[in-house]
Amino acid sequence: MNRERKEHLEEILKLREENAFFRKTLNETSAGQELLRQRKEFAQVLKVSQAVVSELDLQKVLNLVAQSAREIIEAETVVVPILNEERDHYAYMAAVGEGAGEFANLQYKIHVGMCGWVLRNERPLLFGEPAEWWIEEKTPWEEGQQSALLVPLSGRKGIIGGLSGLGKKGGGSFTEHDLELLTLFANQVSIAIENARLFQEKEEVISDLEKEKERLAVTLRSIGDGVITADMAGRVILINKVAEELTGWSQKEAAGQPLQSIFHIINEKTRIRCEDPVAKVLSSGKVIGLANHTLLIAKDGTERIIADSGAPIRDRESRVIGAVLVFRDITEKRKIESELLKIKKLESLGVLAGGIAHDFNNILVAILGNLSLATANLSPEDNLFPLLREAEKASLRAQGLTRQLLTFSKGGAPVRKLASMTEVIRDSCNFVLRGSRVRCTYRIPKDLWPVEIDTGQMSQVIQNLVINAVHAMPEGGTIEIACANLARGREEAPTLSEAPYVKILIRDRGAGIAPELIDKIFDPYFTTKEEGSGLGLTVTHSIVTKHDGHIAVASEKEGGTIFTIYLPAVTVKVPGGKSTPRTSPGKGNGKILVMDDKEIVRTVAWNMLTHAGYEIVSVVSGEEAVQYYRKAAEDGHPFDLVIADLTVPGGMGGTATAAEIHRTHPEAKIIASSGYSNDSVMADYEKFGFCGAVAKPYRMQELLEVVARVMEE
Amino acid sequence: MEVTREIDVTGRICPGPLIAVAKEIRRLDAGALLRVTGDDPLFEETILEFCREGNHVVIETKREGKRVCIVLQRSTVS
Repeated sequence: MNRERKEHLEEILKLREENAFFRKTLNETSAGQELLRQRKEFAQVLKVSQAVVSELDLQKVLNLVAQSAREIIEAETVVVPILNEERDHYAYMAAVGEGAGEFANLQYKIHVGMCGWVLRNERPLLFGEPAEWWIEEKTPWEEGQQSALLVPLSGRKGIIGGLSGLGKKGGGSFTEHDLELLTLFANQVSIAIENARLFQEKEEVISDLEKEKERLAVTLRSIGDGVITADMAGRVILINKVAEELTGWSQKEAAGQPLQSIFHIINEKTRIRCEDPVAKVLSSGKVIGLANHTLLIAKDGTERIIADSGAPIRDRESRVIGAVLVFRDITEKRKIESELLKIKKLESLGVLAGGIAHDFNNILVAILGNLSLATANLSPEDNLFPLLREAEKASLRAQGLTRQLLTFSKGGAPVRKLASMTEVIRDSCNFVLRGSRVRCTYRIPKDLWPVEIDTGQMSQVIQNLVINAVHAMPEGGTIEIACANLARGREEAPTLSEAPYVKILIRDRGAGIAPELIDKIFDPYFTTKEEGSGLGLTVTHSIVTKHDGHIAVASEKEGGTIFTIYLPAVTVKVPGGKSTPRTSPGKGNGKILVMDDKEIVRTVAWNMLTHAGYEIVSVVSGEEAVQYYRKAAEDGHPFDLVIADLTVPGGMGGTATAAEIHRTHPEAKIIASSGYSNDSVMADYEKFGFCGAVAKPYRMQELLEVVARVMEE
Repeated sequence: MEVTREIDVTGRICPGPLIAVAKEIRRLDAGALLRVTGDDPLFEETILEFCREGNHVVIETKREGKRVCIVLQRSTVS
């Protein structure tokens, strides 16, 4: 051991001896003991203060403060009053010791009680033996009373609350020394309480913000439109669920990508890429709308017509900090609009066509009627007979044409009856395919729902489509026809309702329809066939639409064409059909009143009926018909039958005439006659008081059959 | 009018008397009377303030040395 080390050790031993001496001296004197006690207490205060400071949960801090204060000043109870934000009330935020539970949720005005006094005056208060009593005109503490010791808790910006000891353990009074200790402790923990309070406020703000963020995110994701937000660099920040579906990009994939990578938009017509809407918004700082005909191309190549707008996102100082794009898929809407436009176009053409067809029918009455009369008066061996027959055939083709025109005109409203499409389809196909190299395969469920249709019109629809299919397969082939029940129409086509539908699919394997022509196929007089009238599909479309149905077409060049028809279904059983027996016209006997405003019609009817042996009187209006009918009845030579034209411009038509005659002569037999062969009165004549109906133009045979039948009834 | 309940909080320090009065008054029917006696230096003004805030009616205040006796009537307004 060297000398230096030895000296050092000796010095330590000496210091230890001196320390032990001082300790002994301190322990042996009362002043020294007091000093040691105080040192121990201050150490305790500092220790608990450090424990309090390290805690951030406000309630835990307050409980710890109350508990520690109670130990430090040896109180029966310690409560911690804390001021509210407005500093007009205080509440006991923590309490420990006897009766602590009574303080829960208590709140008082700041001028109530000792706590209120301390908080208002920001001064400590000792209600006990040695202390000066600061509250004026109040009685001081007396032995036997509970003692109280209160100190304020001061934060950075003034008083935040207090510490209140109630009752000294074991009785007696709190001391000046307790006051010193509690004040020291209060000074140590005030900042900890304030920090915990701030921390709690911060946590609450963060929690509120997170809730708000969550709420906004949920709202954003629930919005029916696509929403994309981008930053100032045009990079995607957020993309909602609809936008994910429309673009094909997920939030995860899209975040951070340049907008143009995920929002690929082109002009529908030119297919040139559109300007980046976010760049436009960011450079202009204004709200922008997208041009019409904008196509959004999704990640998988799906194209959708969209409508959208872009707007800048601004901060509190109105500085642009990004952009938001809102867009929606309007493909279906456009389809519906286009469909409605088509229907409107067809409706207006229908009005025109209907008028022409009606007038044309009246002319055809004269042509067909006179041809019928002429042939009836000629021997089949006569040289003129085949010529007249050819003229009659041509007139009948003209009649077919006017009937087609009327079908899609205003006058062609379907007269619906409950029926099964199975029979309509099979009958129509068999009729059209007779002698053809094309055959049909059917997939029609036995339980196919019935439909309310005009069977005549619907047959025409099926015939038109099957004829087109046959023409599409000149080398022969198979037409596939399938039917199905659809519980909800809307699931298949947006123009349909939620109601049940019957779906009819007619497919050929022909050359298909060129894409550029597909939008025109339902237009009147549009045809690709040399011999076509261009009315077949127009009429088809019109009939289906008037039945509240929908027709769609899908075609691939060289891949064939599929027509799909949707008709509203009825969930009741189809009643059995009833047919009118055919009556052979014999030699006529009876008196007939013919009412028609067209002279040529009156003349032909007169000739035909006279030729058959009937006695004829013809009049030009409903009023005249009523007058003649009543006069004849009064004279004792009544008419056996009236044939009344339904449409008399500017005068009483057939329906009103029938009603007027029936008013005085309910037994009157009246036949309706009309150039509007699809008039609902014609199809349901009994409902309007008629005994029969004959559509113009008619041949002699047709007219006489109806007349004979009604006369017999 | 007859006092329904009576409590003595002599020797208890603020806010003990106030808590005791609040608890007792909750047990009373509307319009019933409570007599409370205490010697807390802030007893009188604290109880009077409590009555003002709760619409209770102070019927009588009597001082006997340090002790204060207050008769109050529970508010008829619930």
